[in-house]
Amino acid sequence: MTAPRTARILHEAKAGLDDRGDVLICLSPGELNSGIQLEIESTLMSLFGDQIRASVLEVVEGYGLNDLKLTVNDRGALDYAIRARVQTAIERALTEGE
Amino acid sequence: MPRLRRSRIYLPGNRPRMIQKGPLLGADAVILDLEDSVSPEEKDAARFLVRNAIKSLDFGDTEVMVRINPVTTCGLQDLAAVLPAGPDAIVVPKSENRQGVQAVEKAIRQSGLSKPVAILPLIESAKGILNAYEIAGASPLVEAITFGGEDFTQDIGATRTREGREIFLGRSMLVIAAKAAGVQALDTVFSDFTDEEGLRNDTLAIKQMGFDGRAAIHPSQIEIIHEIFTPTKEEIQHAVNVLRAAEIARCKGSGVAVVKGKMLDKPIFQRAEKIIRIAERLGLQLPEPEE
Repeated sequence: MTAPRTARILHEAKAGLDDRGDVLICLSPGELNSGIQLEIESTLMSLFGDQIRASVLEVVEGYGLNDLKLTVNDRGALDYAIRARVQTAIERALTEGE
Repeated sequence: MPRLRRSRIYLPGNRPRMIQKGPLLGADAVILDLEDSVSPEEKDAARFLVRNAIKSLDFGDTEVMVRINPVTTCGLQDLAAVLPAGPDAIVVPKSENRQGVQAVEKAIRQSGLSKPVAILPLIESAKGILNAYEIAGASPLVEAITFGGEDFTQDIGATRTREGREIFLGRSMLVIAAKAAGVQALDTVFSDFTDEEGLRNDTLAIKQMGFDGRAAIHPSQIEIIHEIFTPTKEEIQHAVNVLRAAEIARCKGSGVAVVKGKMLDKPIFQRAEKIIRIAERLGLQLPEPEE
């Protein structure tokens, strides 16, 4: 399910594992008009930091979300896994606590 | 001819590192598992991961199967998530009747996928075994029925042993049901992956029973399973000789041929044809018939 454009999340949510080949995503609501605050830690930051950032933002923007904090703790996850974990965290943030 | 399914290996659907190894393991099929290896609170995460993996990773010639949860729990949610990615087959656990298979068929047809998606019911209860023929014939998309030995043993109140006496009848009934319905029979895992001799003996036994392949629980089991389910040079040579003799017999208007003093008829010809089909599928070189 995709949220309507410019939706805001209301709950914190996590997805993924702090495990080799995986990525841990933590998502929480931001202040109004704060935009997307993204923090990335990766064992491969110098090589893939830009690509990770672009993939995460593409997924977030695909949901039309804004005003959120997102931390990414990457342990060498491939692109498909990063996107899956971000999607999971967003879906959880949109539905948990309802 | 359906795909070659000598081996299929289970990979937990919520573990990216293991999923990524799938294409490199050399199995005929990988089963991306959304059922037993995924905890209830991680089912949502596994659906996204499996869907993205199917869309993004290159599995080459390896058949990509997804084991969904039972359709009586959240299996239909699993299908809604993974079908758009286009898996090759859906493994339907806890299959006990035709209705479960038909619900999966309906979801596949409604997904509008242009590629074919096979259904592989997993039969793992006493009731499922008694209904195996009904399950195998429940949909034209069923290409194989598969046996789940661990759950079956528990269901009938038996104890799982290395020799597998407690599952012998269940296995036999599944093979008979599969062959009567014209689909493949695929066997359960051999759980102790440190016991190579046990795996070898058990796999030889199930091949003799009529199974077309079995599941692996560890990558180290794939080579032994393939060795047993791949025709040997001698078997291929014999099959070539048999088919040549059959051709000569047909030219003479006879249904019976003779090879090395043995009378051969239709069932032997059919077995030889199956061996040749497997050899061709594997790209093995066929020898000339011997005089």
